[in-house]
Amino acid sequence: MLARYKWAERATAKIRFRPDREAVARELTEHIQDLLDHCGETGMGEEAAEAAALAAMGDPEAIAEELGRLHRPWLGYLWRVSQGLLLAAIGVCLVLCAIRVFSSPRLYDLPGWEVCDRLTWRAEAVIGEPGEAEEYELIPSGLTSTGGYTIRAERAVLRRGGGPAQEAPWWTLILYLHIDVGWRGEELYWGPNVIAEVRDSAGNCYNNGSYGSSRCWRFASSSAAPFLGQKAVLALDGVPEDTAWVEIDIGYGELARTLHITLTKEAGT
Amino acid sequence: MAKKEPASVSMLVLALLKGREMYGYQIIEELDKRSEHVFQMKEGTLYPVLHGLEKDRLVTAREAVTEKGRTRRYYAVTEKGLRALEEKEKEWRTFSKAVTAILAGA
Amino acid sequence: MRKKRIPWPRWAKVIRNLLLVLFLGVFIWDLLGKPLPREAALRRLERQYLIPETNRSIEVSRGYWSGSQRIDWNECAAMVSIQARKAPPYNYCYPIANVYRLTEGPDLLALPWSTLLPGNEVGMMDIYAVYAAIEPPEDSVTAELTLHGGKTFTASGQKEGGIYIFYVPSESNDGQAAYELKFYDADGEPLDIVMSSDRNGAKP
Repeated sequence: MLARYKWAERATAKIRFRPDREAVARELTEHIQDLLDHCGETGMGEEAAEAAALAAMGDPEAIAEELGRLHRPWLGYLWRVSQGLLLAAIGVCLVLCAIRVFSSPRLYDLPGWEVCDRLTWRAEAVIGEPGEAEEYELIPSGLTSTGGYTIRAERAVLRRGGGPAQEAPWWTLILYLHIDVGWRGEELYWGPNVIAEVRDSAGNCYNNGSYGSSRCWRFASSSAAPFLGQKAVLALDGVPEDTAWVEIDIGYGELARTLHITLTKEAGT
Repeated sequence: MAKKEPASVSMLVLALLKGREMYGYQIIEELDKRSEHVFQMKEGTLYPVLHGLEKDRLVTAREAVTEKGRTRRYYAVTEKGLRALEEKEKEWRTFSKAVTAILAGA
Repeated sequence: MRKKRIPWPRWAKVIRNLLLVLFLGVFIWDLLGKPLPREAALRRLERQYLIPETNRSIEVSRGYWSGSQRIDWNECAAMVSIQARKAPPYNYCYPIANVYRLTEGPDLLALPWSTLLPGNEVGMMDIYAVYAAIEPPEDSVTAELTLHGGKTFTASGQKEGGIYIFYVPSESNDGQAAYELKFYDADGEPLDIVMSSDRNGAKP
């Protein structure tokens, strides 16, 4: 029984890529078995029958030469390499994902603000004490494009309360913006480095400040994803209640633009 | 690659596979039977031929397991193989005609 | 039941595997935080700050501290960056930057990172704050910066690559300090004087 495997080994000795060698050896031993099955009725002993079958198969060395020339190993090696690379890449991905999952997912923690959630690319602003006295929606409208980014006003909320007593009633305007970042998905660094000036329809100018000072603006933004975009928030403290529009100067040099956002009261407010 | 003989083994194998797909042992048997024992080749030497045809994409192979648990590799001829067979048949007929003509005139 | 699935030829599997590796490679690059070589990373920062392409660049050494600050600027903006290293296991270098809005005429920038240089006493080192005067008058040869901070201090600047660099001992350095910036031509005649009252201040 063992003799046929030895014969097959010799006949495939020149096939260098192991899986191919083993496959061809299998095919040859199956053939030998077929030979034995079909000529088994001659009454020879098992070993003698096998020897006769192997003789019928031919010279293993000559067959090995030809098979070796046909079954070149290069594609086999390349296949193994590609499998290895794929497994390595999958492994690295899993490790990095695990690191991300177990490390802090929060990106921006600003005092007085809700956290920006990377997964949903949403930023929520919460200012002052919870349960604010008065708050109502405005309809914003405004859009500008520069440097591959398109910034659009999505939502505007006018919220009352919490400012210095002598300035009551004190309003904060919160603008929710969507930034289209295109295929590159590069985050726009929304903030004092990009925002040059903020004005309102009453002629007031706002400085980058902190909650509690009058006429200041505060910001937050989420991270960006290709095609999904980025969310950004701009809050203006101490706005006049009847502000009709807000202008935001952004960018430098030829990329500088003004985002003009008109604010309309909702019908019935 | 088939040697440059007028009646090469690869041409015969392609012709056999034209009818149906077969595995190695079947091909040897058919060759033997149809040629009425004229073509009796060493069993093992079929495989370089078959694998060469497979590499040149003149045949395709698939593995199948029979009910008895035996694994067989079935070879079937491809479009390209049929075209190559036609070519070789033409060559053979030309050769055969020429030989016959010379022998007849001798 | 015999399975009728035709297996892919080996070369197709190789190509499929390599394409998958490529795709996963891009995903891994994104998971790592999209690292880029230094120049490409700086250009990307410019895009993210809406700064048009900068055309001038200079490296300011940090003295005995390793590395240097790099200033990239054009007419309207200046970006000062150093190479930082991400925490393990990522470990690659990436730039962190400060951006300055430039005005017409010379601008004075207080650079965010300091330099370690030999101090007044022999064998001692001192930390110096670095200031840069961008877009000086063309024919100026020397410049002088006077800072009215904790102590008044005057430094002369070296013209390097078209801008003047001043090193100021940290006692005088006060981000809000009033300053005077004087430029002189080759004969020592004063060319231009810039006062901090003319600008909004040199802080980043």
